[in-house]
Parts: sequence; structure tokens; C-alpha cells
Amino acid sequence: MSEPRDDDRELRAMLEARASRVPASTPREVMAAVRQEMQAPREGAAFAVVPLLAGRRRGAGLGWVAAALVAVVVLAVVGRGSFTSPSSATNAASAVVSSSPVTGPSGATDVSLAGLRQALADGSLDGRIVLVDTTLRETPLLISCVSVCPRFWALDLVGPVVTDRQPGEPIVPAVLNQALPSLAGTWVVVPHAGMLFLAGRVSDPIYQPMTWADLESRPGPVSIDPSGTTLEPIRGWLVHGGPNVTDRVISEQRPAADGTPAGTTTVLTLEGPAPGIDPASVVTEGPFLVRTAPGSKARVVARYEPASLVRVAMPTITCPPVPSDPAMACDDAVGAALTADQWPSPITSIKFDYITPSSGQVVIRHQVASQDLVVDVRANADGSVVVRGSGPLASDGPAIPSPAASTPAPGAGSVPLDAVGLRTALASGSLDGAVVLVDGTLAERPIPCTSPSTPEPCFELYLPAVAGITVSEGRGPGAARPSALPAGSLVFVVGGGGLTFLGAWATWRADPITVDALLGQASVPAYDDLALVSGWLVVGGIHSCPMLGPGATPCPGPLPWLAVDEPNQDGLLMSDKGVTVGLDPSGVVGTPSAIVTPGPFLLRHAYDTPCDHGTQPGGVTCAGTQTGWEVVAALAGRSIVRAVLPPVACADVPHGQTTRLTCGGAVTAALAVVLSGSAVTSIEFAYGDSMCPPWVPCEAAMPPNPDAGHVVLHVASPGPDLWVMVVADGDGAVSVASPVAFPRWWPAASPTTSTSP
Amino acid sequence: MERQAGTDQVARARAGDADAFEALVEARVGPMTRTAMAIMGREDEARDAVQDSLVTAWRELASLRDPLAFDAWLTRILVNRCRRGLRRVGLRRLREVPIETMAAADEPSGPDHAAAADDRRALERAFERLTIEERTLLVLHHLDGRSVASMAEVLGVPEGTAKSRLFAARRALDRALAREGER
Repeated sequence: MSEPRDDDRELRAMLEARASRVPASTPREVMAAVRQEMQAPREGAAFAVVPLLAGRRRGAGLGWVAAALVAVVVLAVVGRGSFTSPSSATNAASAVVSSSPVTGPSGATDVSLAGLRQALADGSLDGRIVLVDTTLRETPLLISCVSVCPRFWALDLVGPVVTDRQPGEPIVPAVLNQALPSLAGTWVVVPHAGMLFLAGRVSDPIYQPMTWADLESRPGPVSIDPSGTTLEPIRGWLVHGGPNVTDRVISEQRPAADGTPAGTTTVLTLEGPAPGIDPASVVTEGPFLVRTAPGSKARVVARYEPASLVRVAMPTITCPPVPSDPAMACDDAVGAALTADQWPSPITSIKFDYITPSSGQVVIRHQVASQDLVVDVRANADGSVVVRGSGPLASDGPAIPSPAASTPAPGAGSVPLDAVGLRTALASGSLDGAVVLVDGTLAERPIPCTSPSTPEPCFELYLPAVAGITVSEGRGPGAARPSALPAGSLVFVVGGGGLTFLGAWATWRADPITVDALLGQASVPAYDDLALVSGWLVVGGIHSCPMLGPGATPCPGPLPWLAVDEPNQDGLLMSDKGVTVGLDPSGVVGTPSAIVTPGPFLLRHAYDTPCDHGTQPGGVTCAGTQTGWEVVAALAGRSIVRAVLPPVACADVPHGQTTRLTCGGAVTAALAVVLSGSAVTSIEFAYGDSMCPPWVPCEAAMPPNPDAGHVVLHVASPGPDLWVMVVADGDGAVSVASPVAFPRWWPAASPTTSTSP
Repeated sequence: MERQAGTDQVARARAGDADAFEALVEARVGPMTRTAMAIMGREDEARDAVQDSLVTAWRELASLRDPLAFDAWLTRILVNRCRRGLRRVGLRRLREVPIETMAAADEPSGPDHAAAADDRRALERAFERLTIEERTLLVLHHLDGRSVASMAEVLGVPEGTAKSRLFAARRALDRALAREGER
């Protein structure tokens, strides 16, 4: 075995030192805290709804009582002419029969919606069969389609799902451009690698497993279900690769030891993650969940193991009696209303009421009552249901601001610009001289150095979400570069059709602080941090100087001073409160024409501000430069505009490769296929196919060269995230292809946010 | 024998035996905290990550099919929790870590060690510039001593993928270190 490299030893030593900064008592304290939290029930205790199929909960000693109560409640509601969810009547029935080993296995687990989301992130439910009582519907498209639009599907309240259909293939046979029906029922999904694979629908309660012959002779949904989504439990043995078996078949009787099927066999295919089935096994004993559809080969989606079922406890959905001539269904109204709900708190209940046969109101209640929402919905002539408006549920108290309204206000109280708006405003020159606050990501890329004396590489800044706009650094040559590029609120000044980067700050505050408050801050600011400070900037004011003898160095001129108290017009200070400041060397501020300039000012914490002999607070003297503050902009009379750009994570160029594809170019091209106004919340870019969704044939579609990559556009719920393949040609022009749905809970490695070409 | 005992504990914990779960994880809390601390760099966040991971493990233990895979499963939960935690705080957090201050306590004093201390601080600053995934790979391999196969199991990726990602992470650290030297 070879000796570890020196740098490996150094890395290990550094990591050891880093890891050892934990106090010895921490593990003990963590364990104590965990013990406390373990006292809470294991699943969904805080989920304030009656879980469907309450009798199925593991170890529920009162299962029968709970089931009976659910049944009584549901029956009572039904008796008043209402029902509590699209499938709640059958759920109630199944709760009553929950002792059945098929419909109510003792090992079945209930999870809340939040628990399901958490499990998708950490993979703890990967490969399990998860049942969800909800509605499958086509989700709104965010992309502009040139020819055939891909269709994306989502389960109400759960989120996007992956189907086995190719992108663009409808899950139900339908005429193009015709509104597709939403499908309510008990859906089977399989979490896998951060995605939810849609396996199909089951009856609830699930039938007893049957042989294929039983299924074919049984009249029922399988023969009339046009959606091809019905799953049936089938007994038998799955055989693949045995003697004389080229296809995958279900053998009705136990195969021979060598895998030779016995009895009637049925040919089928394996689909998706197929929990409980090892694709390499010659024989797997059933039962299985099999999806059948008229005119297509049956597909095995999972080995049916009742003990490993997971059931998602859904919020109650209350629907009214249906009017005589309804123009919309309750679940469609609810589904549309959910698109207007952006609150993070879990939903506890949903109630719909008709106002007219074609309009209604949906009340969405959350665990956090202040996030309760009322949504007005209306049916269009084509049967689709749209949101007319939404607002807080005001009956319990004062009006609650909506999520959008609670966003921090921009400096001038204006509506934030998006990427398109910012680009347009810069091109028109309407923002020249303005300070722009950007919520977004700043990146840098290597460029050839203009001066031969400058060691390679040189870098330039850019905003990946608005690539092509010139971004210069508001600091002089030789200034130190921050160790990490800032993210979050970035501050620029506009000029010449481009942006000059001034710095970043954690929180934009509209009210300036005083110099005293700035200097008295408890925490040491990071370099490049910005502050909004009041006061008066004095440049070239009255200056006293010791009497100098003949031949002495001339008295230096006064350095810029930020005074707390207003000086007179000649710059005569009224007090010694203030601080020596630098002026932005890039000329953003320029040399003030007046001796005294009123604030507020943007100040940046910098490495190399000059210090003035004898004028430092506390009488401290220094020579040369020091860390301190420099004025980067005087804001009096200057307009302040806010822009909100989705943060972008750019991948590094693969080591040792050159490419014509840049992060900015890829993102710009990908954003071009997104409809204006869509809520893109963040963007990821990577080279190659490392984040390729497994159901997309990347290897076939993506050229095997470093000029290919992909962009993931994360969007606000409930639409699907989008995956877009991008390829640069020889001139660097980027083409976009194949936008498809992308799993929202993708757990794999993401690209860096540091550099890009 | 020890492994069998662990397997029995997993089985009992899955059945809801809190004592078995505690016995199962008690010895793992320390190493988990070290791993989280090395990845995240902040004691409070590392503590939260470990605590959340253990609670998640307790609540989701029923979903673990193979008791022998408990260690990898638990580590995966921790790594995912660290990843979410760091993504939430974002890059700004990287600049808030007072490396110089924190590192000073770890290092020997005296003029002979000044250069080594500077190198280590530069190395740690470079490490801070890495992505969460890159940090995780380096920590799992160089601190926890996990093999590529073990990392692949934790991360749920093929061995080849884990190997190439580890290589890429090491290259990224080298690049970041080179840039530290330019400052």
C-alpha cells in the first residue's frame, strides 16, 4: 500500500482540526435532545387531521374505535348531502374493514404530507409503495411550445410525478388541445432518488390477489378504464431469463427449479423502480401489482407487499352538494385553488362552495392559521378551471398579507424588476445613475488578461440570470478580491448600459444608520459588506496643520471625512464625531463638486482605505492604509430600483476540458423557453448529463462533448421543475432542446456556485 | 457478533423499542457530530443536523429494509441534512465563518509553526469555497476514512460515480487552494 500524499495528510489534519471544534459535551446534549423528541409519536403527530384509514396505523390500539369514528363522521356528512374527499366514501369503508390482511396490513405506515416530502429528500422511503388519496391532473405549462408541448402531471397536494410515458405522451388518450380530465383515486407512487414514480391507481380497498385468469374473467374497471392507470394484484411467479423464456412472464404455477414456467404464462414488462423485484432474478414470487390497459402489454410495477405499504394522510377536502347543472367539479376547483397557495405551512383542510354553477370559493386552511387562504375560482367555457383571485381569510382577524406582499419592499417602494425588465431598462438607459439592488447570484468567469504583466487567469463578473450584461467591479486595480462571491442582495450602480458592482449586504434597510452606530457594531463586518449611513461627506474642507519649518514636507490635504454633525458650508466641522473614509476608486462616486455633500451614503467595508494622521477615533494614528469604510455612492437624489433574479448555481468546467458552453449562455437560452412572468425560483447549470433525470435518454440525446450541458429551472409550486438540455455550436451559440419535468426533490450533487467559463 | 447485536438492535428499534434505538445510536453521535462539523464548519448547525438526523432516523426506521445497511442509511440522512442546511444558509455564510479565530485555538504556537498554521488556514479557506457535495466527499473519505465503495453506499450512487466525484472534489480543492495563494 502506498503512503498517503503529503497534501492528503494536510487535508486530513485540517479536517481533524475542524471536526474537533465541537465541545466534548455536544454529543451528550444532542442525545438528550433526541430523547425528548422521541417522546413524540413517530408519524405525523402534528398533522391536525383525521388520517384516512386510521385503523391501519401501526400499533394503534384504538384502531377499531378510530375507524368506527371515521365511518360515523363520514356517514353523517354524507347524510347531509356532502362528502369529504373524492374517494373518502370508499376510504371510510376500508377503514371499517381494516383488519383485512389485504386492505389493512398491520405493517402499513401512515405519513403526513410533510413526512413524505422529508422522506423524498432523505431517501428513507425509497422503494416503498406509497398510497395517496388525491387527484392526478395536468399541471400548468411554464414553457412556450413551438410544436408539441410536453405534458406534466402532478398529484394534488403532493406535487409532480414521473410517469413511464415519454415526454409529450399523454397519460390518458385524448385529442390534442382538448382539456384532459383530472383523475381522482387512490394513487400508487414509488419514491426513488428524490422522485415520485407514478405506478397507477388501485381500488380501495385493494382486491385480493388473483390469478391472471381470474382477472381476465372478471368484469370491472380493467376492461373499461380508458386511462390505462388501473393496478391489479396478481398472484404468480415472475420469471425472466430461465430456459425457453425470452420475455418476462408471469407463471401461474410455481416454476421448476431451473426457472421453467408452469401453468398458464402471461407476457409482460417491468416498469420503473419496481419495488421488491430484482431485475436480475430469474424467479420472483408474487403477488405483484400489474397495470393493464386495453391494447398494450401489461406492466409489472411492484411486488405487492401489504406489510410495506405506506399511506399518506391527506387533509380533508369538503365538497358541497352538486348543483343541478355544474360547470366544474369540486376536485377541479380545489386543484386550481391550490395553484394560488404558496404558503409553506402544511394544509389541514380544504372546503369548496359553489357561488354559481360556474364559479365558487375555496377555503384552504393551514396549520398556521395566519396563512389561511380564500381563493375564487371560475370555470371557463372549455371546462378548465382558473383562479380569479385570492386573499387571506379575514374572518378570524385583521387582513393577513399575502406571501408576495410580505416580500421586503424595494428601496423606492416600486415593483421589483425581473430579468427581462432589468435587461430592457438597462438597454433603454432609463436607469442610468440609479442604484440597483439585485436579489440574485453573481458569478465570475476566467478571461484573458488584458495586461501581459498580469498573471493569468483574470476573471470577469457576470449575472448568470441576465448574461450578456456588462458587470464591472467597483474597485480599483489591485484591490483584494473577496474569498467567496457574494450571493443574495447585490448592489450595483447603472451606467453605460451595464452595471458596476458595489458590494453585497445581508438585508436591505431603508433607514440609514449613523456613523457612530456603524462603528459601534458588535460584529466585525466582512469585506465588501455594505452599509447605508447618514451624515455629511466633507471633501477638501478647512484643515489645520502644525506649523512647518523651512524644507519640511508640505502639510497633507485633508482626507474625506464622514461627519455625524452637519458642518458649515466651508467644511468646518461642528464636532469630532465622524470617520475618515475612502472614495470609491472606480469613480462611481467621483469627486464631489461641493465641499459638503449630504447623505445618506452607501459605504463599503474595504481593505485599503487611507487613514489620516491624528484624526482617527480615540486619537489612534496610522500610516498608509487600513481596513475601513469607503463611500461607494451618495444616494441623495439618486433613484433606487430593486430587481429579483433567480439564484443560479453554475458548475465548474470539467477538469482538463475546454468548452464553448458557458453557464450564462446556457441559462439565458433556457430562460428563453420559459413564459414571461413564470415563477422561476432558482436555476442550476451543469455540464454533461450528471443531473439527467433517469427517464430521459440523455446518453442518446446529448452529444458526448463538453459543449453540452443542462439547466434545471426550479419553479414555485405547484408546477413542475423543468430540465432543459443545452448545446453550444462552434460559434458558441446555444440551442435548447427537450424541456421535460424534473423531480423537485433531486438529492444528487449540485454544481458549484463559484466559477464558470 | 457485534454486527449481529447491532442487527438485533435495529430490529428492536424498528419495532418501536426506544431503548434499543438509543443504544444503537449513542456511540454514533460523536462521529456523526464530527462529520457534520467538518462539513458545515459551525457547531450550532452541526448540532442541529445531527439532532434532526437522529429524529428522522427514529421516525423513519421502519422504512429501513436491511438492518445491515443501518450505518450507511443513517449517514445518508445526515449528509442530506447537512446539504439542506448549508444550502439554506447559502454562500453568505461562508464569509461569516471566522476561520482565523477558530483555527488559532487548534494550532501549536511559536514561530516554527507559524508557516504551517498559515498553510492550514489557507487550506481551510479553500475548503470553505467548495460546494457542499465536494466537502461531503472529502470529509467522508479523508476524515471518516470511508472507502469509495462505502461512500457510494452512503450517497446512493455507483462506485464509479463516487470515485469520479471524489476526484473532482479533490481537483476543486486544489484549484481553490491555488486561488488562495494568489491573494
